[in-house]
Amino acid sequence: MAPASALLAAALLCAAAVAAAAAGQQQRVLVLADDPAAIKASHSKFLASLKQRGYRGDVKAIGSKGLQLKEWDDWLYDKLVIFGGSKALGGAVDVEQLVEFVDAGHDLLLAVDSGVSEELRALADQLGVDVDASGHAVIDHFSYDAATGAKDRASVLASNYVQSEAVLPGGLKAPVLYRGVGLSIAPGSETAFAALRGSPTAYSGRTDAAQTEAKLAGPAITLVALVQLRNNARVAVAGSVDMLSDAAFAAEATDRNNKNLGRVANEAFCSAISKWAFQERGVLRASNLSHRVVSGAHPGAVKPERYRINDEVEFSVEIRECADGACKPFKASDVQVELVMLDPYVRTTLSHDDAGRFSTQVKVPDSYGVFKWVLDYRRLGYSYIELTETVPIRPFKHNEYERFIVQAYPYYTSIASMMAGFLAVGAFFLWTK
Amino acid sequence: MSQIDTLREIITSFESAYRSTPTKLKLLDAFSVCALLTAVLQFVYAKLVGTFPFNSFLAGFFCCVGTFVLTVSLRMKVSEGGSGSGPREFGGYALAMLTLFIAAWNYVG
Repeated sequence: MAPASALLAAALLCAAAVAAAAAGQQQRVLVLADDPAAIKASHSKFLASLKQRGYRGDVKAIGSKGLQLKEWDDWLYDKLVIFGGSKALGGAVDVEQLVEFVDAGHDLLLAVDSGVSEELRALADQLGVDVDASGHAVIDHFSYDAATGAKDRASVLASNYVQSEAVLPGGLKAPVLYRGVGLSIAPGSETAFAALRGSPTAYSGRTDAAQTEAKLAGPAITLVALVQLRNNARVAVAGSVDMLSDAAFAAEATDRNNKNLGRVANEAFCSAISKWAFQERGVLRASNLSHRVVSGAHPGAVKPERYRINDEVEFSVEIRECADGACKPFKASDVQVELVMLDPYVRTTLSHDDAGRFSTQVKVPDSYGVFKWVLDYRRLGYSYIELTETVPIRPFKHNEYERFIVQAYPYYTSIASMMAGFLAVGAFFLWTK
Repeated sequence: MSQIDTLREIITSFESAYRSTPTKLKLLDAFSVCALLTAVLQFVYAKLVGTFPFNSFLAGFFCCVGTFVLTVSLRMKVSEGGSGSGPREFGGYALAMLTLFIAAWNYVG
């Protein structure tokens, strides 16, 4: 009976796990475009790659009347791709709801063009990315693609990509063909960074008019911006819809001397940024936060209610890096933990054992109060880790102090002698005369 | 020369006057000197071996200093210029001493 029921339970658990995995893989994605039929034709490779990566969903017109992201309190989609054109958002969707969508922890890939609608500009602005003025394009008279941009020099070959293993593992072998508008990120932005920048000779201007100065030029032009919000939701903003198209994926780059540079890296690059934006790369997961007393009041106590001052304690946490559907131990030498009571009293670097377990041994400060462990790890391209664990620190109890110290025997003796003297003097004082 | 003579004169007159002091007061004087010497000894000891059980040192030292002060004040009360010489004064002294000892034992650790 017992083995049979155990077997049944195991089978049920397996079934549940498989169902959960299947549900986890089948994320719902909504692709919005001005003209769905045209996008399906021109961007078929990109859309097919999304499907192949396990997303299901559909392509809808951005202005359609019945457009809905949310039904009551349920989000109908997990990810959103917007190929932004000049058409206004339709149905129940507006900028506010799109921001709410991201605030709820969902991810967004926004590709815009220079003629993009004010609404989507406002959306990008809310996410910390500024789209350059309408009618402007990124122009480069030195590093342009001769095949498609000989006339206006607005098909640039960009190879100034972000050096991050989390976003672009292994880097890019060829330049990215880019035809679109320039973006900019506020300097000092804590959430946004550029995945692709302009070359030193690029500038943002009008293709139809001569220009003597440019507001945006060189590496200050962001071509593709990646944003990781404080809730770990991710947004990718590309200044070009064209770079995701089949034509761009298949293009061969030709430099200004008409030398063929081979296949452009658009496919690899777009795949990488969409993977990053949809949490398939650079995701850190922390688990099993633990701390224990090594020596002190209660040696060996795991996750004690409180420490005593000057206890020797060990802090440990497991961090795994998830990329392309598999999680493996994270390896980094710059993860720090702090023991904080308003100010950090202890800040120390954790060491790892190559199996993802980060740990350190510290001496608790010599002051008591409500302390907490704080692990706040923010690195470019990786999701944030923010862990806190409150552990108060108490002083010695009255009976925990050392007693009968050999060194203090003269002091004990002195008090005893004073008492004896007092008794003798008192007896004599009272009973003589 | 004359200064040393004067000093000698002072000492001899003090000795002769002190001889006539009641034994009770002499005893109190001896006890207070004893307490003061113990305090000094402890201070020297703490200087030599370090202040590790600092609370113990403070307790021992101030117990002796307190004893000295209280004994001197008892002497001032029962000596000729004082208000009395009976067990009433001693009662107050005993109460103060007991409080001092309780505090000292508590703090010595």
